[in-house]
Amino acid sequence: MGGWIAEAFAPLCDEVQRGKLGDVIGIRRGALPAARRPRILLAAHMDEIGLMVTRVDEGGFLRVTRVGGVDPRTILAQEVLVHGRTMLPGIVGAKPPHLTPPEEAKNAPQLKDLYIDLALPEDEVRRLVQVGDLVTVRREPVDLLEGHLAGKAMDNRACVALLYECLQELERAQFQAEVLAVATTAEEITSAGAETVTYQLAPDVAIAVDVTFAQQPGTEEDETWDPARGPVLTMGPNISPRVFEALREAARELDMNVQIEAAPGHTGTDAWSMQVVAAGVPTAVLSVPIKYMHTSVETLSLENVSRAGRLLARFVSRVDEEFVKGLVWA
Amino acid sequence: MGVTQPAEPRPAVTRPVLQKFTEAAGVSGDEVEIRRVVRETIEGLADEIRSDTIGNLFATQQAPRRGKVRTVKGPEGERPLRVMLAAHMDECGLMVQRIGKDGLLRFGKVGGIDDRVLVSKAVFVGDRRLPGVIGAKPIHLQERGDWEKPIPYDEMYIDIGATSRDEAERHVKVGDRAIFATRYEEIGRNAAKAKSFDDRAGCAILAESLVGRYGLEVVGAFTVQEEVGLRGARVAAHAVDPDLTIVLEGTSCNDMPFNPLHGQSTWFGRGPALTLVDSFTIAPIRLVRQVADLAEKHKIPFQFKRVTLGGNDAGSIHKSRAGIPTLAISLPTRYIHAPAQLISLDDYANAQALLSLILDHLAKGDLTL
Amino acid sequence: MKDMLLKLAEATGPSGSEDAVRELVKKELAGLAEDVRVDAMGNLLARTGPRGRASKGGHKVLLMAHLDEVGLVVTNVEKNGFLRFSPMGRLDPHVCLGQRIRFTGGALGVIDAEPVEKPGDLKIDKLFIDIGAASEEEARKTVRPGDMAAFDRAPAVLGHRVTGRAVGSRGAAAVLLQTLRGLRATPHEVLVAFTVQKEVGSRGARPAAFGVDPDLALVLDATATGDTPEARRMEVSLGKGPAIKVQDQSGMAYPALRRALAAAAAKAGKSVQYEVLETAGSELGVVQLSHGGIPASGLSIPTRYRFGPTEVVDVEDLEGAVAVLTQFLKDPVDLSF
Repeated sequence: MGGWIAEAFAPLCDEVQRGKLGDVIGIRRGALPAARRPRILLAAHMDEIGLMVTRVDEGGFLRVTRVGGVDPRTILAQEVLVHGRTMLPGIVGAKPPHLTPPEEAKNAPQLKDLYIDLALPEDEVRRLVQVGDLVTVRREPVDLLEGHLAGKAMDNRACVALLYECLQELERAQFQAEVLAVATTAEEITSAGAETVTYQLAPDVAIAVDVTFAQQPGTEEDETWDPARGPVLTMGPNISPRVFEALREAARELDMNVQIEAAPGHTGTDAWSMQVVAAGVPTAVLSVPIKYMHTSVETLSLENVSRAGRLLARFVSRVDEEFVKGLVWA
Repeated sequence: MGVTQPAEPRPAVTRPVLQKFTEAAGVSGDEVEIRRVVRETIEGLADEIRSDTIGNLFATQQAPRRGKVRTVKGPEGERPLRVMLAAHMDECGLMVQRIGKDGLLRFGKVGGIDDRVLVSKAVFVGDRRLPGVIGAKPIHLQERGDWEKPIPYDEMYIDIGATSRDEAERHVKVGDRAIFATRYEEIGRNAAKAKSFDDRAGCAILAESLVGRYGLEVVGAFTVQEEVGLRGARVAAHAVDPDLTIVLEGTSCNDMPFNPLHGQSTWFGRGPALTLVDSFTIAPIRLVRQVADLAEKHKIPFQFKRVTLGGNDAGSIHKSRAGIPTLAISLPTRYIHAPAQLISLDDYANAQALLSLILDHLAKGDLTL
Repeated sequence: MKDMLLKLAEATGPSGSEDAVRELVKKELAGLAEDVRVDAMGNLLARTGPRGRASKGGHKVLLMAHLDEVGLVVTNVEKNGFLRFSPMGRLDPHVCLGQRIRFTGGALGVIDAEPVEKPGDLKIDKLFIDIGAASEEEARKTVRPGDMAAFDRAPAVLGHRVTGRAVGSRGAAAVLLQTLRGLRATPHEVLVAFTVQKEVGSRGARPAAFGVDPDLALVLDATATGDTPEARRMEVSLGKGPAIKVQDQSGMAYPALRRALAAAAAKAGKSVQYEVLETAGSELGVVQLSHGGIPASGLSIPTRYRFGPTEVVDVEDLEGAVAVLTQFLKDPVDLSF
């Protein structure tokens, strides 16, 4: 994935680097000389939730554990790819309905009861797969009506795509700052990628681009967002009020509607780790609402992805030395 | 035939700093007002006063050029021992998350507030301190079974008197913080009541300690965002890189006789508490014992915190960089994280005295790290 | 190896009071490494190998093993001379019941509990320690709040296995020492850190990694097994070799390092297992987050009955770990993705 993203970013960047833990860093330099250029880190995580093989069981069936916040109920009957010596397609199996006693069917499947069927004999499986191999969901993106797209890993590949949109917009913009567009690793587990890359790059501002919950049946109105009303800007202790204001101003300039989320604590994004790296980094969060998060059919509106990309580009073009000075509190 | 009003109680010894500090607003992430109040108070007491991007306020006293100064060996030769004194400016509070069609404000909690202390309290909302009250269903209209269960915070709301969303939006906005509307008041015997003694009392002790000068480099760090994860302190420790840190905090105090002894944590009025072990830190025991011996020798009352739950800025400071020896001195605070907290003014005075003593002896070289 | 393990497992060192274990390891380190020092947290640090990265493919390598074990801290001394305590690390109240404990100052005590209706009601705050004192005054002559203790159980030999408190983590420390002992040529600058306070949240590891700032790190520690009756599923067993760390609850290991360890095992002709630990974390997580990121993995010692007084390890797994680690250090390491 990292390699693929690096290739995609390359034509839009002055340079592409890799962080120590695998993050992809696309660098696009603005007009000011290096010593005075404000550095803006835009972070979108490229890792997805998935599974890891814990045992090759009798009959060649694989037992698994989770990597990130996987809901076992959404994995049952899913097609997957096991990253063994080669990529092996499989199905997450469970007892067929006819053989499931009614009491059992009432209970949600637990991860420990699930297994992956590769349709291969045990000795062949043992040759190709070992404990620790990763498993990802197999899902082609699905084009839905009204410009909607569904697929696995919209959280957070959509936001990597959003960075790409931003870099494209910057091709036609004037700006002074240095943009570090980073596809980070390990957000779903520990934000290790974002935290370490932030330490290495020492930016003046860091913005985490992520997904948030769109309205869907069964959710409370105050827990979710209307995808039609634009990207979501967060405010709260994890967010620098100055960066938040600047993003909101940028949206006004573009005549773009944004929604405001008040987060009293942890924002659940890379911003939480980035904010307290070294001597501190002013952070912000920009989110795209998606439905059915952490399932293989995460659904979003493509228009929101490009809106958010344009918003970021406009923000970048407003950042100058004065802005950076103003980030230090009185 | 009128009713005779009781005369207004005369205020006891006034403590302007404690009052100013506790009444100021500064919910985690929005410490603008308290930072200004602290800054105005310590103006002239330090050689350099600056802030960083997360909102910490640093006041640096360089070591004096004359007289005895304690030094350590650095990469460029001997340099003055650098002590960081840390107290957090932020307080627990609420944050407006949604303005209902009915003009009522739905909120989230910033910091660890027990839902049970919220209902029926008064708050001030936003920069303009709009008065509001926290409401919920009256007891008469609840099912008998409901009386047993605490009301969860997301079934409460702040009522500012508006009856429509439009009206409410003319006065408040999503993201506004709300603080408890508690006034500072000295009550009982040598005690004071206010919101947020945790940790405005620590800030007051820190501010007042800057009146003195010691044979050390002293950095006063008024940190932010402790209540949401010891976050300002983490950044402060990295930036300051001290040789030693002393954290000044408020800590739990449940010393009612009907509470089991091992759940009481600290005694009210028996002196500042030294932490040995809490949820995030194991104190450097040899240093703590030296401080205890020093306090005993100089007859300053002190105690040890007797539960291991709870944490403070020491949790993130001591693991910073290549490790920083960190001591915590805490003020026993009854009803911590609730709207009306209580401290003993004797404990406050003894904490100040203990801190002075430590800094003096540290400068003299009596305390080994 | 067995003797080294037995020696290390004799010393008592609950998180926060590791002095005795640290002194023991320090003595063993003499002659095996240079620049032996103790940092502000209490971590024991040393180095060996060429200074700077002498040869191509040589790196600054950090090897880490922790000194501490789970234990308890006294919080209250009651009027009748009984003590109340809080856990330091993962302490199961049922495992504590009826155990003898030893304070780092040398005193002994036993643990029992207030009566409970059901076994599930037994929590730490129902337990107390009896040190044989008849009153608070008498108790305070020996023990004070803040004093720490660990299980009192000397290690013992079970065939070619060893049992006792902390033999898993002491086994890892022994592996590190024996590897240093047998290390001849290496292209790497090898830094070792015997850390403190791992059992209370890897607190020593974070400053240690920050101070050393290596190019890569290997964490040596115990891991669980899945080979006891009705055990929770885990593909690690006693006696089948050391386990290369793939993932635990603190993070995922760096793939290139896993591969390098596997290659080293193959070259040394030793069988290895793969560790995917679902029930605990390790120092891996905090080490990876240091500076601009430190690629890390680990070599783990399969250990039964972790965190109690009767851990069991297999000496052959320890010897296998030494062989794999030694081979790993002999060769350059390729860190590319």
